[in-house]
Amino acid sequence: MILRFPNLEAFQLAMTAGLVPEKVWIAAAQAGFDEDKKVVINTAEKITRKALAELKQVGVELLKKAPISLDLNVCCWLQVLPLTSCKPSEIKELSDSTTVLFHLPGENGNGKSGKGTKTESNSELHSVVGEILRLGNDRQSFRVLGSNGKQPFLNQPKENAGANGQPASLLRVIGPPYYSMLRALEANGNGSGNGNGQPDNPAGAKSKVESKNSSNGSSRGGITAFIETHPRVWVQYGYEHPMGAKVTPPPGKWLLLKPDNSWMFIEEAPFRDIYESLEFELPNLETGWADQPLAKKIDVTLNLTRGSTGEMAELWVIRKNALDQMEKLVLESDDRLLARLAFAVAEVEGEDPVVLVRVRPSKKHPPVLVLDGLAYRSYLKIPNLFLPVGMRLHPPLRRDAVTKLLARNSQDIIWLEPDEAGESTGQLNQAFGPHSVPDAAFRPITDWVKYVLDHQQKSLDAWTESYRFDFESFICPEDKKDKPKPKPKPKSKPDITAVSSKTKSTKTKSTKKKSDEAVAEDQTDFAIGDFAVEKTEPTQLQRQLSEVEAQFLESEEPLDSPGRQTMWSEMGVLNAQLQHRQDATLCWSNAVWADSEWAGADSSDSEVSKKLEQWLKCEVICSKFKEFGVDDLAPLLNETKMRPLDSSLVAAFLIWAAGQESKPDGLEQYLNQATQFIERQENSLPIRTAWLTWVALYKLSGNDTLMLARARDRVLQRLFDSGMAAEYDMPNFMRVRGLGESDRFRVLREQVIDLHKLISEWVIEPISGAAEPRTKQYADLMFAFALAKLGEVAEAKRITVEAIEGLVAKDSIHHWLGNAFEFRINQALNGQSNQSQLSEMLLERLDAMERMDRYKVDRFRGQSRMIEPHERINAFTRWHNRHPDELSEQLAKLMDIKDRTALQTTLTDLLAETKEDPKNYGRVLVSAIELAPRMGEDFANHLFDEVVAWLQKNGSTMDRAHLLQKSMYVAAHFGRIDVVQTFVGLFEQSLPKIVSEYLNLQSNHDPINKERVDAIESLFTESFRGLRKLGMREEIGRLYSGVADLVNKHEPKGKKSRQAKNSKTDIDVTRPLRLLLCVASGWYYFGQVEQAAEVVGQVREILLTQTLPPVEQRNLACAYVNCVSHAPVDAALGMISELYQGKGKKRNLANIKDNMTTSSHFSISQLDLVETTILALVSDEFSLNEESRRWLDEDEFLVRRRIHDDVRNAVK
Amino acid sequence: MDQRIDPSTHPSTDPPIDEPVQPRPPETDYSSMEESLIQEILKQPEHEPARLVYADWLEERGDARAEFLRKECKLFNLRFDHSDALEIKNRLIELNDELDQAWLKRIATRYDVWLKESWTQTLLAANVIRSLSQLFLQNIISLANASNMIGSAPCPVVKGLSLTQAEIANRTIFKAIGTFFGPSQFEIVPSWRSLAADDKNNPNENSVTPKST
Repeated sequence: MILRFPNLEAFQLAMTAGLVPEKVWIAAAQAGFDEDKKVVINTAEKITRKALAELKQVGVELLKKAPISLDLNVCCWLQVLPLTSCKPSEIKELSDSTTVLFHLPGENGNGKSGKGTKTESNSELHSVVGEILRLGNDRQSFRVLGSNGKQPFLNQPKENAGANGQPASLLRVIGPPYYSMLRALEANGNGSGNGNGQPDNPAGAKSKVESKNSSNGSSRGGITAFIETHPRVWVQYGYEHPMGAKVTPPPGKWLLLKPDNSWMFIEEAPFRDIYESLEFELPNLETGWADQPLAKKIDVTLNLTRGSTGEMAELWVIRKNALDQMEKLVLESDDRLLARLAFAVAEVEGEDPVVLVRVRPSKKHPPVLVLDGLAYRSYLKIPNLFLPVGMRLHPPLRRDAVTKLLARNSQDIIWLEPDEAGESTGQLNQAFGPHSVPDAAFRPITDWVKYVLDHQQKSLDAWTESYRFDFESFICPEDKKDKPKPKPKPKSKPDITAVSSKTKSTKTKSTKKKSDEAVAEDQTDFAIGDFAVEKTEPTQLQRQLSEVEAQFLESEEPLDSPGRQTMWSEMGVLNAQLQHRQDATLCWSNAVWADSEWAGADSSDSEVSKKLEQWLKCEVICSKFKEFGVDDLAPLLNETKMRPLDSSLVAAFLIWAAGQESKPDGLEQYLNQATQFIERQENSLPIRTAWLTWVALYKLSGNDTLMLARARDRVLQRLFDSGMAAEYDMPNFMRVRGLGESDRFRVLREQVIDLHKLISEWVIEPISGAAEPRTKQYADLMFAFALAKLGEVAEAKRITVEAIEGLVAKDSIHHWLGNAFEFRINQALNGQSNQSQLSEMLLERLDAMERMDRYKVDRFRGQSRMIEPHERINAFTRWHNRHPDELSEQLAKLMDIKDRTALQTTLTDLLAETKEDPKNYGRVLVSAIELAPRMGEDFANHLFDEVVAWLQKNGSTMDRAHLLQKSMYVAAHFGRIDVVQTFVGLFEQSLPKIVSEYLNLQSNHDPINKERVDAIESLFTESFRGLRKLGMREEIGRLYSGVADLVNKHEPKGKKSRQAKNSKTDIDVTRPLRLLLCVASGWYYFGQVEQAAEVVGQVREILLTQTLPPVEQRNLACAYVNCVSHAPVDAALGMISELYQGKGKKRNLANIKDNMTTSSHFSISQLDLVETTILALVSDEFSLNEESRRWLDEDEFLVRRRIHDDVRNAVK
Repeated sequence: MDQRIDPSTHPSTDPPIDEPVQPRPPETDYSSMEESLIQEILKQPEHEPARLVYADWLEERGDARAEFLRKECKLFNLRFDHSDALEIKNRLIELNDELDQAWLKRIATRYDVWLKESWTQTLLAANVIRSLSQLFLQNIISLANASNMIGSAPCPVVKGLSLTQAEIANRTIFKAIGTFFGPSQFEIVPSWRSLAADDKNNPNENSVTPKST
């Protein structure tokens, strides 16, 4: 069937509009163009009449015979359409990543040779490759196409056929040079045919470059460049096919299109790298050299040279008028700026002191300070090495080499100071000297600054200064050889007084802080009550103090006995003389604690009054005052920032004033201010001192019961949150009882550092299936937290920096958790409590995270007591964010109600609504009792009755356990011993049932059992701890014996076999052991070491020799660590270290691992045990001696009892 | 228990498998937390993280079902002919014998469609594949894979369809698939056991391996 199309457009339309069926135009045909450029095509396929009629409408004629010779043998009709040349502006720009295919047809691409051999063809390839290589591109690969004797391009005109059937090459180049592309364009412009009258060359390309090869008619004329316009369709560069998108080569083939209607199909095959075909000629023969040792090391002098100037200074070394400059800085700076700075004073004998100001770690940019000193910045992120701003080391060395050479000691801060000679001559490279000071010498500036209001200047003239600095001195070793080595300097505390310039000279001397000698001298001025103070050497005072302390510790009298009161007073005086101010305050608070008469409404006792006076005098000795009165009080009350120790002076004064028969004159007017002041400062006072001060204010204010009740709620809340803390509420001699302080803490620190190494190896083992977990880095951060708690500042910082660097910064989970740890570690480093919530910024960032990432972070938060010491995050609840029923939702919302009245109303309503439904009523009771400390005593008392009634009638074991545990704690909190006794009675009654249910609970097929088990375990651990604090030793003893008996008598009903993992009768054999460990920790607490050791030995055997399922091993190991942390320190450390020993398959606790989703980032199981271990090491339980621990617990009971008694008396 | 769904053995008026399992109230065997986690999966059956979070919760409680969920997710991400697929499926079969069947029915919401007859050139025609792809989006196995499996029976067609019990019950899926292969020429099998159950009996015949590489 022969068709004649009026023009190419009609031909194209016939295909695109579907006038010709697809099966026709995808079939092979013969075609040609007549003189009028009409397309004549002969197809073997049949076309329907209908289609022909449609074709006729667009001017297509059906011919019986071809009017012209049909030379074009096409594989489909699309081949008839010639390529159209692009306008210069439309030619695709080549980028560095554009792939171009060069076709090298043979020796003479223009068909002039026709005699090319394989070798010749390859030489053509080599020539082009060499040229492109010279132009700097080696991203080339090639294929040599073998000859099969056929025309490579279908329908190629004879004049362009070239070396018919000769081998050819394909060269694939990524981002070819422009020069080579132009040559290919020009070559085709010379050589390729046209055939259809369409322009076959992109305009302008030819005229731009005159190729010397083509001008002399060389073989390069046959190079053709192709670009892949559609998948596997390569079109000659500078052209496009009108229906390119329709051209689809058969699978596994590439199609190369040229403008002369010639198409070439080639098999898809891999290209070979160009280096496979390259042979590099070596300029000369190889010469062999023998290896020789280097005769002498090469001396390279390290210098400082100019570097980038954009760095921010982080350290300033001030040599000229250092102290004056500091004074100026403090006078002129915002306190927020000062809070970001730390400083140290260094001195070398015979030279002026040098002040170092350093920016404290922060996320903000360092502040800009204008100081007359040299500014430094940290170098190569080495935290303790500083170089002058704008300078760098020359020659540049690797970070580890620099660290090894200059910053080997991580506990020192090192700065490289340029030589003055080099500096003055302006040399490019300057010699330098390394200088260092211990990191521990840096202190926050704010600790040493005290602000005073101007309008009170007059009243302060006699005694005070505007600002005071008190720098501890230390020696700064100089490394310069020509200088004598520094000699150790006798310890002294040089005081620097910064005052306004006008008054400085006259006030400096009078306002210096008292040195030990001065204190001793002052002490001769007066007597403190019955204790005449003589001029006594500090060492003698220390001996006296030690004797009284020893006597106190040996005494077996109760803590509140009169005999102990006298000793407290003696220790108070001696501590004051020795300037142990915190201990003096604590001792005096204890000394007057039991003397409740002074707090009564109208009575005052002369003895008590004397004691209070003695206390005040002791506080005055420790302060900068010689005497203290109402006039001195007023300015202190206005201070917004005060050192904690100064607030104890105000407290002692108020307590003294309340103990006098009549109020001191003029005090009345300051009472409001005093109340506000104590409210601000109460958390910095020991709990006893804080409460005594509130009782004093109660009396001074004319029995303001409401104020006292509010104060009680706050103090009780503090006890509820963090209890009595050794560092605030226990005098030093009690804290360090047993070993000497230095020994105890040295041993502890060394053990923590040793344990760090062990645990690092333990966690480093890869978790199966995990991509890139960072468990080790998180374990490191946990140790950094522990070291910060133990005061190892430099080591904690070093580990933190390294661990954070090891976390992947771009990963949002690692980034967030790293920041959260930094936040907590900084709190610990600054001596702040870590009980607060995380920063708002961190929480906001968490909320903005992708859901799965947030879930992983929540899993960490839910487990970590370091990151979230208070809040129990349930990652699963946050994940599904739904409540099983309406009541659950209502109970969850209770936590968000801030207003006390609203909360009380809601709770009362809920209790009333659920009264008839015992199960739900029990659930509401649990929430209500949890919130009772916020609601106050009346509400709690009402609840206790309800709880007792409910417990006597209702409840599953789990519900009872849950409610009993919370209720006992809250009853103890409110001092309701009678209620606690009732709860203990109920607990004892239920004990057999609870223990039996606990031991029989099966976990494998009912995961809810974990909650039951947790609730019962919590009942035992928390109740025992709570009862200890109530001094209920007898009751605890009974419960311990009961539990131990029940566990030993218990016969498990299921199989113990570990193999029957999924059997419904399988019982967790570790469960009785966990319960016994809980009891054993109590035995340790009460000194029954042998009994405890038996249980611990049994568990140790199982932990270290048996293969337990991962979850059970993890739970047992955590319970074991918690238990042995109550054992004597040396034994405990040994037992804990042992858990992490061994390597590879012989590693202990090797089974503690998991496959949870969090293992992409960390092993949550391993970190659980690591954190439990570390928190046990730094807890009061561990760091305190056994007696001291007990003392602290019993003391909390006495404090609570006294608080409740005072408020009850006040209400009466 | 074989959970294969064969449309030929189920008249259209009857549901092809047991009656859909109704969500259990929290106070029965499932804790409220577990129920919430299961609901999260049922809400978005194709959402893999929901399964993994539930698996975490179970693993923390030493529950063997965690392994089942993780292995099922792993299998879902493998090709039919992946070398690990057979091993995982056999492990899933082992676990199946030990686990609660009611729980399995609730949680296994992903199914594969298998042809009883082998792939033929006719079935391989591009328009069949294209239409199936439109119907099941990315779940349809690729044309290349199908062409490798010509001649092997039974052979997979659609992988990992997320179907609720209700969708299976109302038979829409059978009608849709039946359009291409005939009403009784295919079966729907839970993804986790779609191959291994037969492999146990005759591993050589039923293992799907590419004909040519």
